[in-house]
Amino acid sequence: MTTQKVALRSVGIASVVGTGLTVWLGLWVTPPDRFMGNLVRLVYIHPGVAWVAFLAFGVTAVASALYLWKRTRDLRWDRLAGASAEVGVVFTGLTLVSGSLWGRPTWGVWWTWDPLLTTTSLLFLLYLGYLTLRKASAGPDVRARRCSVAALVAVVDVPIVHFSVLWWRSLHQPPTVLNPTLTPEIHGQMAWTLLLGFVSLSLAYAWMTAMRYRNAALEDAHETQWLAEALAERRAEGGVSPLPTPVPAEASSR
Amino acid sequence: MGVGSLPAPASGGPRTAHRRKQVRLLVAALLIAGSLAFVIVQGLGSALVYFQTADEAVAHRAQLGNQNFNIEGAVVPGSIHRNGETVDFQIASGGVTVPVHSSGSPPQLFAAGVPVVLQGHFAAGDLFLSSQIMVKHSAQYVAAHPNRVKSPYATDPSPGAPASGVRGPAKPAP
Repeated sequence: MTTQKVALRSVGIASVVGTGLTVWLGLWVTPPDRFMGNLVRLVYIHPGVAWVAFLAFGVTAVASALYLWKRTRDLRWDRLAGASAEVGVVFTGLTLVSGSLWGRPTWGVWWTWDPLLTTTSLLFLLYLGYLTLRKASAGPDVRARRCSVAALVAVVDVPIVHFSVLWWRSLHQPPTVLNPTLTPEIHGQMAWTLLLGFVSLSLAYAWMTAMRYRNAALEDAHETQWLAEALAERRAEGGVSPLPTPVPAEASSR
Repeated sequence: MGVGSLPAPASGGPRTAHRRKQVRLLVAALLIAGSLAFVIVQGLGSALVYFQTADEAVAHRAQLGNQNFNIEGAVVPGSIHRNGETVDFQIASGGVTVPVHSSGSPPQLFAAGVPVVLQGHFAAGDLFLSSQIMVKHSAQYVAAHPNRVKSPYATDPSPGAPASGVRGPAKPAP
Protein backbone atom coordinates (compact mmCIF):
# COMPACT_ATOMS: atom_id res chain seq x y z
CA MET A 1 0.00 0.00 0.00
CA THR A 2 2.75 2.40 0.90
CA THR A 3 4.79 1.48 -2.16
CA GLN A 4 1.68 2.18 -4.19
CA LYS A 5 1.39 5.61 -2.60
CA VAL A 6 5.06 6.34 -3.20
CA ALA A 7 4.73 5.29 -6.84
CA LEU A 8 1.65 7.45 -7.32
CA ARG A 9 3.33 10.43 -5.72
CA SER A 10 6.47 10.01 -7.87
CA VAL A 11 4.34 9.93 -11.01
CA GLY A 12 2.63 13.13 -9.89
CA ILE A 13 5.91 14.89 -9.13
CA ALA A 14 7.49 13.66 -12.38
CA SER A 15 4.57 14.98 -14.40
CA VAL A 16 4.70 18.41 -12.75
CA VAL A 17 8.49 18.67 -13.13
CA GLY A 18 8.34 17.39 -16.72
CA THR A 19 5.56 19.79 -17.69
CA GLY A 20 7.43 22.67 -16.07
CA LEU A 21 10.56 21.72 -17.95
CA THR A 22 8.56 21.52 -21.19
CA VAL A 23 7.19 25.02 -20.62
CA TRP A 24 10.69 26.36 -19.90
CA LEU A 25 12.21 24.65 -22.96
CA GLY A 26 9.23 25.62 -25.08
CA LEU A 27 9.18 29.28 -24.14
CA TRP A 28 12.86 30.11 -23.66
CA VAL A 29 15.25 27.49 -24.99
CA THR A 30 13.83 26.31 -28.32
CA PRO A 31 14.23 28.52 -31.38
CA PRO A 32 11.36 30.28 -33.12
CA ASP A 33 9.97 28.52 -36.18
CA ARG A 34 11.03 29.62 -39.65
CA PHE A 35 7.46 30.24 -40.77
CA MET A 36 5.47 30.80 -37.59
CA GLY A 37 8.09 32.55 -35.49
CA ASN A 38 7.21 32.49 -31.80
CA LEU A 39 3.71 31.24 -32.52
CA VAL A 40 5.22 27.76 -32.87
CA ARG A 41 5.61 27.46 -29.11
CA LEU A 42 2.13 26.07 -28.57
CA VAL A 43 3.25 22.96 -30.46
CA TYR A 44 4.88 21.72 -27.26
CA ILE A 45 1.52 21.63 -25.45
CA HIS A 46 -1.42 21.35 -27.84
CA PRO A 47 -0.65 18.02 -29.61
CA GLY A 48 0.43 16.46 -26.31
CA VAL A 49 -2.87 17.45 -24.71
CA ALA A 50 -4.78 16.01 -27.67
CA TRP A 51 -2.75 12.81 -27.44
CA VAL A 52 -3.70 12.41 -23.77
CA ALA A 53 -7.39 12.76 -24.69
CA PHE A 54 -6.97 9.92 -27.22
CA LEU A 55 -5.03 7.84 -24.70
CA ALA A 56 -7.70 8.38 -22.05
CA PHE A 57 -10.56 7.33 -24.30
CA GLY A 58 -8.51 4.36 -25.50
CA VAL A 59 -8.04 3.21 -21.90
CA THR A 60 -11.76 3.74 -21.25
CA ALA A 61 -12.58 1.56 -24.26
CA VAL A 62 -10.18 -1.23 -23.26
CA ALA A 63 -11.40 -1.20 -19.65
CA SER A 64 -15.01 -1.27 -20.86
CA ALA A 65 -14.28 -4.22 -23.14
CA LEU A 66 -12.62 -6.03 -20.23
CA TYR A 67 -15.71 -5.40 -18.14
CA LEU A 68 -18.03 -6.69 -20.85
CA TRP A 69 -15.96 -9.83 -21.39
CA LYS A 70 -17.31 -12.35 -18.88
CA ARG A 71 -13.95 -13.82 -17.94
CA THR A 72 -12.54 -10.49 -16.83
CA ARG A 73 -15.78 -8.90 -15.58
CA ASP A 74 -14.98 -6.79 -12.57
CA LEU A 75 -16.46 -3.50 -11.39
CA ARG A 76 -12.92 -2.19 -11.02
CA TRP A 77 -12.63 -2.08 -14.83
CA ASP A 78 -15.79 0.00 -14.92
CA ARG A 79 -14.34 2.33 -12.32
CA LEU A 80 -11.14 2.71 -14.34
CA ALA A 81 -13.19 3.40 -17.49
CA GLY A 82 -15.04 6.18 -15.68
CA ALA A 83 -11.91 7.72 -14.14
CA SER A 84 -10.08 7.70 -17.47
CA ALA A 85 -13.05 9.23 -19.32
CA GLU A 86 -13.23 12.08 -16.80
CA VAL A 87 -9.60 12.96 -17.42
CA GLY A 88 -10.14 12.50 -21.15
CA VAL A 89 -12.99 15.01 -21.19
CA VAL A 90 -10.83 17.57 -19.36
CA PHE A 91 -8.03 17.08 -21.89
CA THR A 92 -10.41 17.23 -24.85
CA GLY A 93 -11.65 20.55 -23.50
CA LEU A 94 -8.05 21.73 -23.15
CA THR A 95 -7.35 20.57 -26.71
CA LEU A 96 -10.21 22.68 -28.02
CA VAL A 97 -9.18 25.72 -25.98
CA SER A 98 -5.44 25.52 -26.75
CA GLY A 99 -6.21 24.84 -30.42
CA SER A 100 -8.48 27.84 -30.56
CA LEU A 101 -5.82 30.03 -28.94
CA TRP A 102 -3.33 28.77 -31.50
CA GLY A 103 -5.71 29.09 -34.43
CA ARG A 104 -6.48 32.78 -33.91
CA PRO A 105 -2.95 34.09 -34.57
CA THR A 106 -1.83 31.42 -37.07
CA TRP A 107 -4.94 30.71 -39.15
CA GLY A 108 -6.66 33.98 -38.38
CA VAL A 109 -9.80 32.48 -36.81
CA TRP A 110 -10.71 31.16 -33.37
CA TRP A 111 -12.87 28.47 -34.87
CA THR A 112 -13.84 26.98 -38.21
CA TRP A 113 -16.00 23.98 -39.04
CA ASP A 114 -13.24 21.95 -40.62
CA PRO A 115 -13.35 18.13 -40.27
CA LEU A 116 -10.83 17.88 -37.45
CA LEU A 117 -12.38 20.60 -35.33
CA THR A 118 -15.88 19.28 -35.96
CA THR A 119 -15.06 15.68 -35.04
CA THR A 120 -13.12 16.85 -31.97
CA SER A 121 -16.08 18.83 -30.66
CA LEU A 122 -18.18 15.73 -31.36
CA LEU A 123 -15.73 13.72 -29.26
CA PHE A 124 -16.08 16.19 -26.40
CA LEU A 125 -19.88 15.96 -26.48
CA LEU A 126 -19.92 12.15 -26.82
CA TYR A 127 -17.87 11.72 -23.66
CA LEU A 128 -19.82 14.40 -21.80
CA GLY A 129 -22.81 12.22 -22.63
CA TYR A 130 -20.92 9.18 -21.40
CA LEU A 131 -20.19 10.89 -18.07
CA THR A 132 -23.87 11.86 -17.79
CA LEU A 133 -24.83 8.24 -18.38
CA ARG A 134 -22.51 7.24 -15.55
CA LYS A 135 -24.53 9.49 -13.23
CA ALA A 136 -27.87 8.01 -14.29
CA SER A 137 -29.25 5.99 -11.41
CA ALA A 138 -29.12 2.24 -11.84
CA GLY A 139 -27.60 -0.69 -10.01
CA PRO A 140 -23.82 -0.85 -10.31
CA ASP A 141 -23.90 -3.80 -12.72
CA VAL A 142 -26.58 -2.35 -14.97
CA ARG A 143 -24.78 0.98 -15.03
CA ALA A 144 -21.42 -0.63 -15.78
CA ARG A 145 -22.85 -2.65 -18.67
CA ARG A 146 -24.65 0.35 -20.14
CA CYS A 147 -21.61 2.60 -19.84
CA SER A 148 -19.25 -0.02 -21.26
CA VAL A 149 -21.35 -0.29 -24.40
CA ALA A 150 -21.54 3.50 -24.68
CA ALA A 151 -17.76 3.78 -24.31
CA LEU A 152 -17.20 1.27 -27.10
CA VAL A 153 -19.54 3.24 -29.36
CA ALA A 154 -18.00 6.62 -28.54
CA VAL A 155 -14.41 5.47 -29.07
CA VAL A 156 -15.16 5.05 -32.79
CA ASP A 157 -14.77 8.83 -33.08
CA VAL A 158 -11.14 8.73 -31.88
CA PRO A 159 -9.64 7.32 -35.11
CA ILE A 160 -12.04 9.50 -37.10
CA VAL A 161 -10.60 12.58 -35.39
CA HIS A 162 -7.04 11.40 -35.94
CA PHE A 163 -7.47 10.55 -39.61
CA SER A 164 -9.86 13.37 -40.50
CA VAL A 165 -6.95 15.53 -41.65
CA LEU A 166 -5.87 12.76 -44.03
CA TRP A 167 -9.31 11.63 -45.21
CA TRP A 168 -10.89 15.01 -45.82
CA ARG A 169 -9.81 18.51 -46.69
CA SER A 170 -9.13 20.62 -43.67
CA LEU A 171 -7.54 23.79 -42.48
CA HIS A 172 -5.71 21.92 -39.76
CA GLN A 173 -2.35 20.48 -40.74
CA PRO A 174 -1.79 16.70 -40.74
CA PRO A 175 -0.10 15.09 -37.72
CA THR A 176 3.56 16.01 -37.24
CA VAL A 177 4.69 12.91 -35.37
CA LEU A 178 2.06 10.17 -35.77
CA ASN A 179 1.79 10.67 -39.54
CA PRO A 180 1.41 7.78 -42.03
CA THR A 181 5.17 7.42 -42.55
CA LEU A 182 5.94 7.96 -38.86
CA THR A 183 8.68 10.46 -39.70
CA PRO A 184 8.45 13.35 -37.28
CA GLU A 185 8.59 16.60 -39.23
CA ILE A 186 10.21 18.54 -36.46
CA HIS A 187 13.88 19.14 -35.81
CA GLY A 188 16.43 18.80 -33.04
CA GLN A 189 15.64 20.60 -29.80
CA MET A 190 12.08 21.24 -30.91
CA ALA A 191 11.50 17.50 -31.34
CA TRP A 192 12.94 16.68 -27.92
CA THR A 193 10.83 19.31 -26.22
CA LEU A 194 7.76 17.98 -28.00
CA LEU A 195 8.59 14.46 -26.84
CA LEU A 196 9.12 15.63 -23.26
CA GLY A 197 5.72 17.33 -23.42
CA PHE A 198 4.08 14.09 -24.59
CA VAL A 199 5.71 12.07 -21.82
CA SER A 200 4.99 14.62 -19.05
CA LEU A 201 1.36 15.04 -20.05
CA SER A 202 0.94 11.26 -20.25
CA LEU A 203 2.30 11.01 -16.70
CA ALA A 204 -0.15 13.73 -15.66
CA TYR A 205 -2.89 11.61 -17.20
CA ALA A 206 -1.77 8.51 -15.27
CA TRP A 207 -1.64 10.46 -12.02
CA MET A 208 -5.02 12.15 -12.47
CA THR A 209 -6.69 8.91 -13.51
CA ALA A 210 -5.26 7.07 -10.51
CA MET A 211 -6.51 9.81 -8.19
CA ARG A 212 -9.99 9.78 -9.73
CA TYR A 213 -10.01 5.97 -9.55
CA ARG A 214 -9.17 6.11 -5.86
CA ASN A 215 -11.90 8.69 -5.31
CA ALA A 216 -14.44 6.53 -7.10
CA ALA A 217 -13.42 3.52 -5.01
CA LEU A 218 -13.88 5.55 -1.82
CA GLU A 219 -17.27 6.81 -3.03
CA ASP A 220 -18.42 3.27 -3.76
CA ALA A 221 -17.22 2.09 -0.35
CA HIS A 222 -18.98 5.03 1.30
CA GLU A 223 -22.23 4.26 -0.51
CA THR A 224 -22.09 0.59 0.51
CA GLN A 225 -21.38 1.57 4.09
CA TRP A 226 -24.20 4.10 4.10
CA LEU A 227 -26.62 1.48 2.80
CA ALA A 228 -25.53 -1.05 5.40
CA GLU A 229 -25.90 1.51 8.19
CA ALA A 230 -29.31 2.65 6.97
CA LEU A 231 -30.55 -0.93 6.82
CA ALA A 232 -29.22 -1.64 10.31
CA GLU A 233 -30.90 1.51 11.64
CA ARG A 234 -34.26 0.63 10.16
CA ARG A 235 -34.02 -2.90 11.43
CA ALA A 236 -33.38 -1.51 14.91
CA GLU A 237 -36.33 0.91 14.59
CA GLY A 238 -38.73 -1.78 13.52
CA GLY A 239 -37.66 -4.23 16.19
CA VAL A 240 -38.76 -7.67 15.05
CA SER A 241 -41.19 -6.37 12.40
CA PRO A 242 -40.35 -6.91 8.72
CA LEU A 243 -38.09 -4.39 6.97
CA PRO A 244 -39.69 -1.06 6.06
CA THR A 245 -39.75 -0.88 2.26
CA PRO A 246 -36.16 -0.14 1.31
CA VAL A 247 -37.03 0.47 -2.35
CA PRO A 248 -39.23 3.52 -3.06
CA ALA A 249 -42.72 2.69 -4.32
CA GLU A 250 -42.14 4.76 -7.41
CA ALA A 251 -39.15 2.72 -8.46
CA SER A 252 -40.69 -0.65 -7.72
CA SER A 253 -43.88 0.19 -9.61
CA ARG A 254 -41.98 0.60 -12.88
CA MET B 1 -35.28 3.24 -15.83
CA GLY B 2 -35.22 3.48 -12.07
CA VAL B 3 -35.61 -0.23 -11.44
CA GLY B 4 -33.20 -1.47 -8.86
CA SER B 5 -32.08 2.03 -7.99
CA LEU B 6 -31.26 3.06 -4.47
CA PRO B 7 -32.68 6.15 -2.77
CA ALA B 8 -30.17 8.92 -2.33
CA PRO B 9 -29.24 9.91 1.22
CA ALA B 10 -30.80 13.37 0.99
CA SER B 11 -33.29 15.37 2.97
CA GLY B 12 -36.82 15.90 1.62
CA GLY B 13 -37.41 12.19 1.35
CA PRO B 14 -35.70 9.72 -0.92
CA ARG B 15 -38.48 9.92 -3.46
CA THR B 16 -38.29 13.64 -4.29
CA ALA B 17 -34.49 13.55 -4.27
CA HIS B 18 -34.59 10.69 -6.71
CA ARG B 19 -37.00 12.52 -8.99
CA ARG B 20 -34.98 15.73 -8.83
CA LYS B 21 -31.86 13.81 -9.85
CA GLN B 22 -33.70 12.22 -12.75
CA VAL B 23 -34.93 15.62 -13.98
CA ARG B 24 -31.42 17.06 -13.74
CA LEU B 25 -30.02 14.15 -15.73
CA LEU B 26 -32.76 14.47 -18.33
CA VAL B 27 -31.94 18.16 -18.77
CA ALA B 28 -28.22 17.35 -19.10
CA ALA B 29 -28.95 14.59 -21.62
CA LEU B 30 -31.20 16.90 -23.68
CA LEU B 31 -28.55 19.65 -23.67
CA ILE B 32 -25.89 17.24 -24.86
CA ALA B 33 -28.15 15.70 -27.50
CA GLY B 34 -29.03 19.19 -28.73
CA SER B 35 -25.37 20.18 -28.96
CA LEU B 36 -24.58 16.95 -30.81
CA ALA B 37 -27.31 17.66 -33.32
CA PHE B 38 -26.02 21.21 -33.75
CA VAL B 39 -22.44 20.04 -34.32
CA ILE B 40 -23.52 17.36 -36.79
CA VAL B 41 -25.73 19.70 -38.82
CA GLN B 42 -23.43 22.73 -38.64
CA GLY B 43 -20.14 20.88 -38.84
CA LEU B 44 -20.43 17.79 -40.95
CA GLY B 45 -22.45 19.64 -43.57
CA SER B 46 -19.54 21.90 -44.41
CA ALA B 47 -16.70 19.82 -43.02
CA LEU B 48 -16.83 16.95 -45.50
CA VAL B 49 -16.13 19.35 -48.35
CA TYR B 50 -14.43 22.03 -46.35
CA PHE B 51 -13.14 23.90 -49.39
CA GLN B 52 -12.93 23.83 -53.14
CA THR B 53 -9.60 24.49 -54.78
CA ALA B 54 -9.39 27.53 -57.06
CA ASP B 55 -9.50 25.41 -60.23
CA GLU B 56 -12.50 23.40 -59.01
CA ALA B 57 -14.32 26.57 -58.04
CA VAL B 58 -13.75 28.12 -61.45
CA ALA B 59 -14.95 24.90 -63.10
CA HIS B 60 -18.12 25.05 -60.98
CA ARG B 61 -18.46 28.83 -61.40
CA ALA B 62 -21.97 28.59 -62.90
CA GLN B 63 -23.42 26.41 -60.12
CA LEU B 64 -21.75 28.40 -57.36
CA GLY B 65 -23.41 31.66 -58.44
CA ASN B 66 -22.96 34.08 -55.58
CA GLN B 67 -23.38 31.58 -52.77
CA ASN B 68 -20.88 31.45 -49.91
CA PHE B 69 -18.23 28.73 -49.87
CA ASN B 70 -14.57 28.22 -49.00
CA ILE B 71 -11.96 28.48 -51.73
CA GLU B 72 -8.36 27.34 -51.42
CA GLY B 73 -5.16 28.23 -53.24
CA ALA B 74 -1.67 29.60 -52.81
CA VAL B 75 -1.21 33.35 -52.76
CA VAL B 76 0.44 34.34 -56.05
CA PRO B 77 3.75 36.11 -55.33
CA GLY B 78 3.76 39.76 -56.34
CA SER B 79 -0.03 39.98 -56.48
CA ILE B 80 -0.64 41.42 -53.00
CA HIS B 81 -1.87 45.03 -52.87
CA ARG B 82 -2.88 46.34 -49.48
CA ASN B 83 -5.18 49.37 -49.22
CA GLY B 84 -5.65 50.07 -45.53
CA GLU B 85 -7.94 47.38 -44.13
CA THR B 86 -8.68 45.70 -47.45
CA VAL B 87 -6.29 43.69 -49.56
CA ASP B 88 -6.32 42.55 -53.18
CA PHE B 89 -4.38 39.51 -54.33
CA GLN B 90 -4.59 36.39 -56.45
CA ILE B 91 -4.67 32.75 -55.51
CA ALA B 92 -3.66 29.87 -57.74
CA SER B 93 -4.36 26.17 -57.72
CA GLY B 94 -3.99 23.57 -60.45
CA GLY B 95 -2.80 26.21 -62.89
CA VAL B 96 -5.92 28.37 -62.43
CA THR B 97 -5.64 31.86 -60.96
CA VAL B 98 -8.50 33.61 -59.17
CA PRO B 99 -8.41 37.34 -58.31
CA VAL B 100 -9.49 38.11 -54.75
CA HIS B 101 -10.74 41.20 -52.98
CA SER B 102 -10.69 40.76 -49.22
CA SER B 103 -12.57 43.09 -46.89
CA GLY B 104 -11.13 41.67 -43.65
CA SER B 105 -7.58 42.37 -42.59
CA PRO B 106 -5.37 39.36 -43.27
CA PRO B 107 -3.86 37.28 -40.42
CA GLN B 108 -0.24 37.91 -39.51
CA LEU B 109 1.12 34.84 -41.31
CA PHE B 110 -0.48 35.93 -44.60
CA ALA B 111 2.26 36.21 -47.22
CA ALA B 112 3.10 35.46 -50.83
CA GLY B 113 3.26 31.74 -51.63
CA VAL B 114 1.28 30.69 -48.56
CA PRO B 115 -1.77 28.45 -49.07
CA VAL B 116 -4.93 30.09 -47.83
CA VAL B 117 -8.58 29.18 -47.38
CA LEU B 118 -10.96 32.06 -48.03
CA GLN B 119 -14.57 32.40 -46.92
CA GLY B 120 -16.72 34.34 -49.34
CA HIS B 121 -18.37 34.22 -52.75
CA PHE B 122 -17.85 35.00 -56.40
CA ALA B 123 -18.79 38.46 -57.64
CA ALA B 124 -18.69 39.65 -61.23
CA GLY B 125 -16.73 37.25 -63.41
CA ASP B 126 -14.17 35.22 -61.48
CA LEU B 127 -13.51 37.88 -58.82
CA PHE B 128 -13.81 36.30 -55.38
CA LEU B 129 -15.02 38.55 -52.55
CA SER B 130 -13.49 37.25 -49.32
CA SER B 131 -14.74 38.11 -45.86
CA GLN B 132 -12.21 35.97 -44.02
CA ILE B 133 -8.70 34.86 -44.88
CA MET B 134 -7.44 31.72 -43.14
CA VAL B 135 -3.80 30.71 -43.45
CA LYS B 136 -2.98 27.02 -43.75
CA HIS B 137 0.32 26.05 -42.27
CA SER B 138 2.25 22.86 -42.65
CA ALA B 139 2.95 20.15 -40.09
CA GLN B 140 6.67 20.88 -40.38
CA TYR B 141 8.45 22.80 -37.70
CA VAL B 142 11.87 24.12 -38.60
CA ALA B 143 14.06 26.38 -36.52
CA ALA B 144 14.30 29.96 -37.77
CA HIS B 145 18.08 29.86 -37.32
CA PRO B 146 19.06 26.57 -38.93
CA ASN B 147 22.70 26.90 -37.85
CA ARG B 148 21.55 26.61 -34.23
CA VAL B 149 20.03 23.22 -34.79
CA LYS B 150 21.64 20.35 -36.61
CA SER B 151 19.41 19.10 -39.36
CA PRO B 152 18.55 15.42 -39.04
CA TYR B 153 17.36 15.29 -42.65
CA ALA B 154 19.17 15.40 -45.94
CA THR B 155 16.35 17.50 -47.37
CA ASP B 156 16.66 20.44 -45.04
CA PRO B 157 14.63 23.29 -46.50
CA SER B 158 16.85 26.23 -47.35
CA PRO B 159 16.53 29.26 -45.09
CA GLY B 160 14.99 32.47 -46.28
CA ALA B 161 12.26 30.84 -48.33
CA PRO B 162 9.28 30.80 -45.98
CA ALA B 163 6.85 29.40 -48.50
CA SER B 164 8.80 26.21 -49.19
CA GLY B 165 8.09 24.80 -45.75
CA VAL B 166 4.39 25.10 -46.34
CA ARG B 167 2.33 22.22 -47.55
CA GLY B 168 1.55 22.37 -51.24
CA PRO B 169 -1.66 24.19 -51.99
CA ALA B 170 -3.38 21.69 -54.23
CA LYS B 171 -4.58 18.54 -52.54
CA PRO B 172 -6.14 15.90 -54.73
CA ALA B 173 -9.82 15.32 -54.14
CA PRO B 174 -10.47 12.41 -51.78
